[in-house]
Amino acid sequence: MSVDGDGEAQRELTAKAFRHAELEIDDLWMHYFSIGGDAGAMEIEAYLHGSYMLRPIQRDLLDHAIYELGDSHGD
Amino acid sequence: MTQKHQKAGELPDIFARVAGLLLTEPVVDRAVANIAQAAHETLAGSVGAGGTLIDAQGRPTSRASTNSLVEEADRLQYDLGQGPCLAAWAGARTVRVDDLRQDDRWPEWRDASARLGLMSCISVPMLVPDVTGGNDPEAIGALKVYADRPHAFDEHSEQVLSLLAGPAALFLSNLQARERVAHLSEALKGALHSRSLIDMAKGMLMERLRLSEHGALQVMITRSRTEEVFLSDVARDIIEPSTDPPSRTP
Repeated sequence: MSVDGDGEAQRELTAKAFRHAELEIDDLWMHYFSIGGDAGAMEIEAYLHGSYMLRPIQRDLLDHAIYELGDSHGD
Repeated sequence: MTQKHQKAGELPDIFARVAGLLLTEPVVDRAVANIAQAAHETLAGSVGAGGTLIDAQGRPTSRASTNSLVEEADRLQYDLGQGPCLAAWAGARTVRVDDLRQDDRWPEWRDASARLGLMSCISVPMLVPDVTGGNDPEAIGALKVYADRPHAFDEHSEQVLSLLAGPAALFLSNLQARERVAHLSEALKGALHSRSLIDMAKGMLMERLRLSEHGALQVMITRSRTEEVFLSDVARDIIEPSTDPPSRTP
């Protein structure tokens, strides 16, 4: 895996939002998938835990999925 | 007649009933009612039987009983948060009360049930193999019979009720699984629809604004956040700006 500074920085922010939102991976994956995400549930979980890197579009989609499911957005 | 012979005589009847359920009953509540009826008719001394599916938080999700007496005794347990069925479910073990008047395990429930005229009961857990791969079976509910006299049931009654609870539990957990699948497929349908809207809108922006895929997506995400609407609503608005406004608009 190549070193990807932007990716790492974004991942940290996304992982923080994920922990804050207290979401189940399955629920998150379903929403991420619904807005166009292509990675699997295991891949996004590994990404959030720092052992896998997603492509830029997938990173943005995952971050936005957490944002939409989080408290700040309501339901 | 020995207990073994008695039991051998009862079993075909019990399994015939449960097998009938397996083939024909599509609805959980109806299925639990039939199982309860089988328990009630099989066990001498029973004044009523019932089955309850209990969720992980200890709340009853589906229940059925042979009469209103059982319903009332059952409701009391869940209202009071105590009683033999909850104990059977929580401990995944059979709970028998031989004489309710002399039982101090659930005083509030005992007093309330005594007023209903109940004197003894058995509750057995409905157990299914742990889906997460653990060795201990998981309790998904309880099956119970009540009597209006003390010492109506014995170890043999416990065995019969447990035998009935086994296939009942598997059957009910299958129904639960089927409901989950139905729920999942609804969610998937919604997700696929939303995905296609977002893809379509993304393509339109790429063409219209001469953007890359990532660029188009970023435009949509930015709009979603600044206007505080879902990405799928942004997509809908891009596809049909006039006729289908974002859902947040009154």
